[in-house]
Amino acid sequence: MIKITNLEKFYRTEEVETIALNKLSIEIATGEFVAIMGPSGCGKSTLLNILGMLDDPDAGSYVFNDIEVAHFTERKRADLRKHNIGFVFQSFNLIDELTVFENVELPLIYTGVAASERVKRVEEVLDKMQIMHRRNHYPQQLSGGQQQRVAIARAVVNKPKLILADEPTGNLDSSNGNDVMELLTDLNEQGTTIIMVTHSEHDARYSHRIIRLLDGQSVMENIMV
Amino acid sequence: MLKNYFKIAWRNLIKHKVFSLLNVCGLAIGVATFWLISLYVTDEWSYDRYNDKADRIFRVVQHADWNGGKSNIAVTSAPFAPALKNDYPEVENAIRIDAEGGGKITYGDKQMNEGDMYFTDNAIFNVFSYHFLYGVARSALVKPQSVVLTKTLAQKLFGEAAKALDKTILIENNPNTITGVIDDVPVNSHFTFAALRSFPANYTAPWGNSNLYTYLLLKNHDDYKHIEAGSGAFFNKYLKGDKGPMHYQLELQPLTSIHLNSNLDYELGANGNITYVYVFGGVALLILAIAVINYVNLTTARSSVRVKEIGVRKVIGSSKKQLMSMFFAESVLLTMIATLAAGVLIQFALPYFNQLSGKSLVLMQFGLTKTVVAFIVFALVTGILSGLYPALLLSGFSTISAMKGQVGNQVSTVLFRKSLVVFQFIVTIVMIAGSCIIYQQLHYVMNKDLGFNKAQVLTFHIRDKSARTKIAAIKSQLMQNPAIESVGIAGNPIGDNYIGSGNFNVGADGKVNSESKIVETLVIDEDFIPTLQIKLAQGRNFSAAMATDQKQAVMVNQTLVNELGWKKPVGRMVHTGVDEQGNVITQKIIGVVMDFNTYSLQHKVAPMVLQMPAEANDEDNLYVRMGKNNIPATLSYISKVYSRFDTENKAEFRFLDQNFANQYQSEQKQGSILFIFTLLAICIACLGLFGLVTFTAEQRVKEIGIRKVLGASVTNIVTLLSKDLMKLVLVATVIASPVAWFGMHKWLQSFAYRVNIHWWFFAVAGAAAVLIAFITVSTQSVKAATANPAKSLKSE
Repeated sequence: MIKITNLEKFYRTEEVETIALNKLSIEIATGEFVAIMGPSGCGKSTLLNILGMLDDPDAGSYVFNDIEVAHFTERKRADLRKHNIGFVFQSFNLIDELTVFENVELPLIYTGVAASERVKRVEEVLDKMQIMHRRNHYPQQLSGGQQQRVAIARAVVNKPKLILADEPTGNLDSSNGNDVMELLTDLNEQGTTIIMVTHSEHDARYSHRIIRLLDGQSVMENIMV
Repeated sequence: MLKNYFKIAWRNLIKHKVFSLLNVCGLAIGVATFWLISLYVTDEWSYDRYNDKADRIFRVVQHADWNGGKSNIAVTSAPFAPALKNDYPEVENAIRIDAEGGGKITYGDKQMNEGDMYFTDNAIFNVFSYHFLYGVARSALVKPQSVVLTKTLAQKLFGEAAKALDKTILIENNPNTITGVIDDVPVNSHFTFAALRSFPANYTAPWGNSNLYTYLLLKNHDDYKHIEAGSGAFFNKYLKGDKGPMHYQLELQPLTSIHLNSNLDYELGANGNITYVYVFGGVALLILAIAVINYVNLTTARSSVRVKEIGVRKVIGSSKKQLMSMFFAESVLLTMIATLAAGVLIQFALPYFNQLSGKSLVLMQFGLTKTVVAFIVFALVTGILSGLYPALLLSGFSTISAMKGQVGNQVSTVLFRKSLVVFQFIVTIVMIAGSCIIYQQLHYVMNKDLGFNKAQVLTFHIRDKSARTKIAAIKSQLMQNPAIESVGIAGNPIGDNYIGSGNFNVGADGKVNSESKIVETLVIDEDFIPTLQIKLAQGRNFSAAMATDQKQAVMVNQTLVNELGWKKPVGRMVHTGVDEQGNVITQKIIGVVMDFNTYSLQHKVAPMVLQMPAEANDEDNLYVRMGKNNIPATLSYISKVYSRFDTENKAEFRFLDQNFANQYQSEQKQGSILFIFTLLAICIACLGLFGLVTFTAEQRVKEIGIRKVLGASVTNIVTLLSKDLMKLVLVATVIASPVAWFGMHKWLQSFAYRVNIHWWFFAVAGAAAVLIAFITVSTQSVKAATANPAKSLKSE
């Protein structure tokens, strides 16, 4: 599904140039659950941003579903993104002014799904995430665990092929964290590819494979059994 | 999708109440001002356009200049209309209007004075669109001594308009048959009247007697060019014999441009002024711009609050276009609310505005549907305009920076925002300086020494012709009251900007020579100069004791002497005209008066000749100087004396200072309107400043806390928060000063006597703006500075 080759990304200020990704090459197959680990500043988030097409690389190739996307325009990337990729963040990033239902509905609005179909799909996914009873609440009225469920519901409502999760349990206690990991595992078992950045060895154990980064390079891969 | 946008927009408005309220208030005031002025401007534009054939109707006016004089007059003489119709096949119809048809109306035992009655030709009904309620347009004014009344006059005379038809009324004791009743003439006409009368049969007058108005209905609009081009030939054919050689031009004024563009001598009524329409229109747009800028500034300044939401929306699939639509939804929703509020404000303010502008505007001036459509379109356009920059800016943030909340306030955005604040204050300061200078000028013209003492002088017109022959008796009876100091007589009330003119010192053969002048002529008696306390420069005043003074003596003013460069004017013999037998009249200058103003101060003192009345009828304006005490009793005494001589008319007093003050009414109106707009502009600009400083204080709450912990005083903090904004106001003062100087310099050109524009006017305007801005900013910065730092630091 994903093949990156010799990917490079630099950050420049007036005086210093920092290498975030240094000729990084990774392949991820459809249906995999991959965890990316490494110390702060190793390039995890940069990699996730590029994989999620939020950012473009300075050099190298990124093939997504057999399409070279490294030099796509912002608009093309956005279009590919909204149909194929779902995001889950450490800080949930729900929109405060919208209810649970409306937050989950938003991606469907942006992809132009008809209203009746939207209601059906949002209810379906809320049901699956066991958050249906909170559909008319605002994010501030929910616990962290509930908020992350909503965020996951929002990420999957469009049935993306790939979910990118950036420390999804970072702001949760262990019990809520485990619930979230179970949810992701379920999704993966139903066929969704998942790439997750994490600091937690515990969470990483839910994945099939761990890629460890240091200074923008892959230094080790662990296959989980 | 749209529903979703408006839902979010609404929730955002509710969530940030203070900023929403600031935005709504600012926009509502801006929109209300804009609408009020738009109503005013469209009303000014609408003059005479209700006429079905408006685009083909023209008024004929004359321009001429010759050695020693020029004239630009709206009047023509009686033969113009038939001659033009005869000479030019392009003329479909030509009609005349003579405004001198007013007078006393008698019906049975009912009597009233009605000044607004015009003599005219029957074809007027083919040219102008007057709607007949009773009677027939085709024949109404064909016969002499016919009269067509407007509905209001008919109702005044007969109770019901329907009863008027075919009745006979007396106008100045001549019987006239009412042949029709028409709807009242719309107020947005450059002339209105109470009744139209037919001319006497085959009415005509000499070519040189320009005392009526000629209107043409042309077959095609463009035909006027051909007629204007024939001016020279027309002059040679008809007018040269009467007037002698001169440069002459006929002008055909399009009907719809008369109200705003014509400012000739002897206009049929007070016209508007296109410049003020442009100025007010411009001011309206600027005030709206100030309000829109508030929205732009508050929205972009607060972008950091929204930035994360924007990032999230982008990540989950929103395109730039969709984001922009969302921001447009917010600005449109806000302007919709503001426009509704503005509607309420307008309804509330209209009576006051009407009083100020002398109009009778209503909110639904153009009907309900048009108004509602206009309101919606306007709200949409304003909403999109105010949302444009914020939408472009906010939707343009890069996704990752937005997610990290790193976009806050870039240098370029801050600079742009500052420029907008400067722009707002430039407009405000120009308006403050403008109001200040208009006030100074009006104060100056009201208080300038006019060369005579205008206080406690009352003037009134003697209506009754027989009373005019008993002037001496009236004067002596008035003088019996010790409260009356003196009584003088003149042929005109001064200060009304209407004094006749004549030739002075033409050649011995009656032809123009190098020492001749067009001069103002004023007929006065020997008591006029002492009554008005006009000073003598040389020679003596007229004397009742000198029999020769009446026919053989004149007095002149200093300007005339200066212009002709005479060293010894007194004793000179001058030619002052031609008598009925064609002999040149020669008179002797017996005295020179110091200049005094007979016209308001838009006009320079003109060369002037004072003569004694040749006939009793020339003395029809009394000037009475009274003591300061018990004026009501004196007035009632004068009324009583007057009623002994004129049993039909009441004495209509006017104070001389009021005569002059009336000539500044239009300037005063403009001054008041501009003053109110200035207040509104200041108000809106300050709302914006208030919003900005509130937000800055909110954003810097932690910094303020730290500074206080480190020992900063309240003054330090207030300075910190206010400094930047105050600098902007100072920059605005510097830029605004030359702009205001230029504008006000132009405005002052309409006065012959004017104040000097001093540098400190602008300093005062700038200081006022700085002060107001500082007070606004302080309210919030002091609050932030006195807050408990422990709280702000803990909240982090």
